[in-house]
Amino acid sequence: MALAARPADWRYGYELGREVGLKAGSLYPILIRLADRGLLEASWENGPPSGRPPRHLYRLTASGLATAAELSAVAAAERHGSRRELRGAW
Amino acid sequence: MSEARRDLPRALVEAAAWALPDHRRAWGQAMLADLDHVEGLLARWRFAAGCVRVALVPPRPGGYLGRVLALGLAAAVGVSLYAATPATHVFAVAFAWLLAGYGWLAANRLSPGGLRRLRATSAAVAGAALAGVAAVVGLTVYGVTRYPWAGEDPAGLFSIFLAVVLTGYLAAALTPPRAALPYRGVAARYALPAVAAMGLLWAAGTLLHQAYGWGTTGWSVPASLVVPGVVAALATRAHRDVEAGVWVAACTGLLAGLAFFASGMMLTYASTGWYARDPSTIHDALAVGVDPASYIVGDNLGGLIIALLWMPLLTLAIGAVGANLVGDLHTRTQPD
Repeated sequence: MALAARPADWRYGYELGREVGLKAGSLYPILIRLADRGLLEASWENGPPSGRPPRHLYRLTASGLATAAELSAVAAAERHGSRRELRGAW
Repeated sequence: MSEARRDLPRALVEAAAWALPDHRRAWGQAMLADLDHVEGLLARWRFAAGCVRVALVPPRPGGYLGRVLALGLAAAVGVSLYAATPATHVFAVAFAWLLAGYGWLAANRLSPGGLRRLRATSAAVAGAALAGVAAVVGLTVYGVTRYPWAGEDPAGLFSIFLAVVLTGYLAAALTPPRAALPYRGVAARYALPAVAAMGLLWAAGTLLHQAYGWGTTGWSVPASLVVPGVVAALATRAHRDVEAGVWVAACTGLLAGLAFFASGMMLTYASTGWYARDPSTIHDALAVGVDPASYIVGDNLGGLIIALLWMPLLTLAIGAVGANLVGDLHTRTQPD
């Protein structure tokens, strides 16, 4: 969802992990799986600072954005459904 | 924000990047590049630990079978060796753990189709190395079972050393560095005949010594070490590439170490009768209070276990000299 929030922007992996509270051991496997499924595209940054290797940049592909929108809709529907159930229970 | 910081977390992430399979190499580079932007030692350690976790349990559906097979094989080897004799208990436990660790990492590193490529390019070397490791283990177990004094290793140092070295042999033979891949076919073509020639020299030295008292067995080892220098030089000349010669030497060293141990222990077992009549062996055995056969088996077993380390290193060094000498000569004789 963090990637879907700014779909046009390329994002760094480490900063993305910090934003969503994921450590490297969880973040990279997720990114790798998303890329394997064609939901994420990765690119090397141009012109990194001298003495530093170029970093990987990530953003969702079109099908990644569609999947994110779908999941977001499902999550919203579930939240709405559970609120109604709670109201019914009281 | 200038140079990349060299510290232990970086070394850990580099190791994790190395352990990733070929088709995930870019992800290893991405982790390394991200580490340069992680500030604070604790945060760097946390980040490195996460990368190590990715390398140990990479996201790769289908890799589970390889890992399960590796662990099962390691457990089977460990249990068999543990059950063989009490003298092999430390070796069995150490070898099983190391095999399991290596097998796990090796299964993780295999790219899709990697196993097929491994078989296609290095079946001869991999097969010879596997047979060599099995021979070393078999001959050691036989020796310490038949001659219990030879298996005495109170601190377990020889057992652990042997387990570490044999795992290293397997790793070098089955998962060589990526830089060696283009030379695997060449290396196998030169290394196998080279090791056969070295083996003939070792056998000749021992047999001539025992049959005719001709010199000592020691001459054949230095003489055999000329072979890697020659084959590495020949490979360099034939392929006009020093690296080809160096990888031939590395492959020769790998197989020579195992062959030296196996031939040495087989000749020792076959010659215990001769050693039982050899005055210097009898003298040394009496000094430690054991029979000459147990003494010579124990003495040679210890010496040959240590040779598993120095023989490949020396072979590689001599081969590298041979390859570089021919490489220099070739460069100097090229017209400008």
